[in-house]
Amino acid sequence: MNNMKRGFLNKRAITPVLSTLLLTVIAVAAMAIATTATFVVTSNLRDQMSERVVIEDVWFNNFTDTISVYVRNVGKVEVTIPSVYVNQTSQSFTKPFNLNIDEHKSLNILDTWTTGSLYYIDLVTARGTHVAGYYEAP
Amino acid sequence: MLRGIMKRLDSDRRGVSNVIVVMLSLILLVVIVTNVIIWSYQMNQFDWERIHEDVQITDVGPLNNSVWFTAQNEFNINVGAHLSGTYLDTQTDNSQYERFTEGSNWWNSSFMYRRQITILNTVSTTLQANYTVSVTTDTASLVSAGKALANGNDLRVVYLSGNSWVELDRNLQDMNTGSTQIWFSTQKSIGPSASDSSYYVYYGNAAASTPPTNLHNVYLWFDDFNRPNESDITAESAYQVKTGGGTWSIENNQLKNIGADGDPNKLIITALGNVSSGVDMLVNIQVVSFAGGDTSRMGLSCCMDTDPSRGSGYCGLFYQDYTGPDLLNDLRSWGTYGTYSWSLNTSYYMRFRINDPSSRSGMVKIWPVRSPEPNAWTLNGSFGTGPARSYGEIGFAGSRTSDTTYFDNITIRYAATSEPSTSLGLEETQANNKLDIANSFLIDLATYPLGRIKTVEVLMKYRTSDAGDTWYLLMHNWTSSVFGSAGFNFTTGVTPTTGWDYYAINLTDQWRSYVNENGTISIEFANQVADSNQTTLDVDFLGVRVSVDGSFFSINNKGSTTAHLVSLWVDNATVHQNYDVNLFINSGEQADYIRLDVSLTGTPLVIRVVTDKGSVSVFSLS
Repeated sequence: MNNMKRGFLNKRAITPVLSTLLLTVIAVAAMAIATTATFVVTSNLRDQMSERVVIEDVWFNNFTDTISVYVRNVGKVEVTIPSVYVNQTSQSFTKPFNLNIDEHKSLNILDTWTTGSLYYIDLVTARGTHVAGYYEAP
Repeated sequence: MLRGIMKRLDSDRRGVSNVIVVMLSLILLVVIVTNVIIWSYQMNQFDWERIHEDVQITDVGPLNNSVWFTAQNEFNINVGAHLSGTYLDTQTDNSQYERFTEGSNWWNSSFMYRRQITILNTVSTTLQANYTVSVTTDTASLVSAGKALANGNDLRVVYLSGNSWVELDRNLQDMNTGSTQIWFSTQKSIGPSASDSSYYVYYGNAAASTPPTNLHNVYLWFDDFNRPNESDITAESAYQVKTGGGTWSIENNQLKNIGADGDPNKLIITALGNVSSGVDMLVNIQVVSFAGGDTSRMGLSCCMDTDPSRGSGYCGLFYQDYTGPDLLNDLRSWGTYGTYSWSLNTSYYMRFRINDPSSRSGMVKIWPVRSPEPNAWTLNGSFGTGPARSYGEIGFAGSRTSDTTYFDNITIRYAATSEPSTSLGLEETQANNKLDIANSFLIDLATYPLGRIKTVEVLMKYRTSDAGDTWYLLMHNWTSSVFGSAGFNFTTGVTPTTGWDYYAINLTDQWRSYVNENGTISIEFANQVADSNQTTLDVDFLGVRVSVDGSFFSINNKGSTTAHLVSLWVDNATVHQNYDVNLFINSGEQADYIRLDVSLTGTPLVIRVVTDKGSVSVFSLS
């Protein structure tokens, strides 16, 4: 009771309390922002590290005149393939082409091909991973 | 020291926030570093395992047959005996074998001969147990050949229950004639249109003692009334009078009825209760006084009500005059009458049969005692237009006036709409050595589903000590529930040498009848005719395999980790075909992977398997 009475009587005691509280709030807010930013950055890093895609089969299809690339997601994150290049030339295909974890399906490239020619097929994921290889058309 | 720190914090107002910032920064740094290390470790491990995966396809080819499925349990010996070895010796074609010897499986060595009885249920409903059947045979020729006693004492009926023999009570009629009827009661129900061959008639024992002839065990009901005179038979708990006119007594070993006013006037065999099946009733009947007219009636009755007007039922009667029997639906309608001239003080057989009360039809047959039973029914007609009855109580019908009737030797048995047929097999002598062994084989349906099987093959390598027998491989037909060979490519059996022989059969497109839903095939191996030689049989191999149209893939895991195959590719020039796979192969092991949905057509082919980590192994098939 005596302390409270003394605090109310001492007008200069309020300023240090407020300043301390303010500094604490600012520090917590700054750390929250830093934590969020770190989470976002590390999530992207983790996803990029966990991405694994393999080409199981490439079928130069005589009947449809397309190149069917059968891909499998063997990594630990979902994958989106927005771009495909054949001999460094961007190709059109049905989008969006997403692969869940362990999913496998065919990506049909709408491009003509020539028997006996060698093709460099490059699949690029949205995170920038390249899955590429040389394939000879039968 | 702590006091010093507290004092300093107290004096430095920015100290708390500094500590918070430093602590949170440290935590954040640790979390980031830890996560990065863990993720990096995980993916490095993934990549490391992938690098060390070394899966190779070593062989690929068409698969036309499964492996041999062999016995997994000891053989059942239906006839004969086991001498040496075990079923394990029959699993591979080598020098190890299991040995059996013939036996006789004979009920009683005092009897020289037997014939198997087959009972065929000729209706589409189950024939209940305790159904009285008869088999007819020529005992006169057996007696004249010295094979049976003239009094029939050595004529026995025996039931084979599993591996146990049960001698049955039987009733011989017309013994030592060309058509002796042997009556006995079935011990087990027989399915619709099915047969039962578990019964035998044995004979040929000159010293045979008195046979079992308890007719209560042969018929549903039997009473010869051979007991002291009784003024009222209803003193016996088995009988009860309804509606109560007249008296029912036992006199001189016969049942005597003196009629009186009352309708109906019945003696009910209450010991039978309600009989819920068709019945055939046979009795000796002799009328000694007969007033004639509407109230003079006597005979047999069944399908009697128990409530409310107890005793009302269907009747087969001598009625009104001496011209023939009549059918009566008590208190409802008179039915058809037949033509048969009968006389007082003459003993007749009266047979009364109801197969289906709802049809309102019945049959009556009359013929004199000591005369052969006629084939035709004296009366086969309807009970008239009165409402049909249900199954119910059974008994005697008495006269409604002071007529006197004697009844004797009543036998009642079940009667199906069509009598089961019975037949006798060939005569067997006691020195009838046979061998009959059986076992079950289980097809691996997980690998060879029923839908992929083309046919089934059986192969046996065996040796017998006697080349004179013909041996048969039979299989259990799960549809007809009998062992047979219908539909096999080879049904005539084999006559072996005394060396090692092979016996192979193909079940053709009929295989499905012999394989049940869980893949079980039951095989029986037996010789056809019993003889005096006690042959031994050695079984080196007995197996079953299925024919399929599939492919096999031999895959070797030379890597240091377990490989999980998830995808199979079969590519030819025109088609790339993908199949899902879920196959684990341990490090250093080889797996023979079978696919019945993969056909290796259109060579050259490129076969490719993919692991869950993305490793690919390629095999070229030209």
